[in-house]
Amino acid sequence: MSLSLPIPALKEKLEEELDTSKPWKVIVLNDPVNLMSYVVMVFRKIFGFNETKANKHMMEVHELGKSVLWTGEREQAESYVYQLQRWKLQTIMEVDD
Amino acid sequence: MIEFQLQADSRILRAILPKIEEAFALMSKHPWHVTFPCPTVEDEDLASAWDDSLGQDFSEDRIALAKLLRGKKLPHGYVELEEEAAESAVRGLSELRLIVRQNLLAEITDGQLERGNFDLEKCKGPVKLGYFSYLILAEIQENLISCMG
Repeated sequence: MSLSLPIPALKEKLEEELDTSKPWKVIVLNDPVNLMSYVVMVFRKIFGFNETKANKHMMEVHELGKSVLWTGEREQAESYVYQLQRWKLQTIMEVDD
Repeated sequence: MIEFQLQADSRILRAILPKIEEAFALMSKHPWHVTFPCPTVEDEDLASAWDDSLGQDFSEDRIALAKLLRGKKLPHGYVELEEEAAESAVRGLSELRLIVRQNLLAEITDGQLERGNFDLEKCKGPVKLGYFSYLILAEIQENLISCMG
């Protein structure tokens, strides 16, 4: 029995996701519930941003629906996603192409 | 000890506290692994550890929030909380507002809710109570954030 994936695009996506050499982006998505002051506080706590930078990212999330908070190694990206989820912010990570 | 007084009329507060308690009871039943999934689904061990750890963190936040909501002075408009419980309670309030939004304010769109762009007078009683709950929880959260500096 063949273990290869039948769809080339899917195989390519899986290989891309397993590639640890590529940088990963940590992306926070907009939600209608969390307060602006809360989101700014969380960004400052987790990433050590100053008020201006935290505000800029918060406004990106609010106006554009998402903001890339950090880019780098996969393991650290996972750690950031965990911390942001712990603060109830909807967060994903993607390979940075 | 963190202490502050809410702007809300204590009669309104007493009317909505049972609604907030109802929403609080729903928190532990919510499938949070769907809203906050492990980003590395192909690693089953990591995904399982992720869900367990996040679940534990969420439980601790709910315990801190329970202390705040069951404060003796809250029905009279006063919030009291130990400083070391503030961060957890702030996170718990976010979770509770999500629950209120999903369960009591489902008929209001995200856009309407964000801009306050809807006619509250035309809403049914439970929706009105849900909206006041949503606002009061935001007020408590904002005050706690200010107190945390």
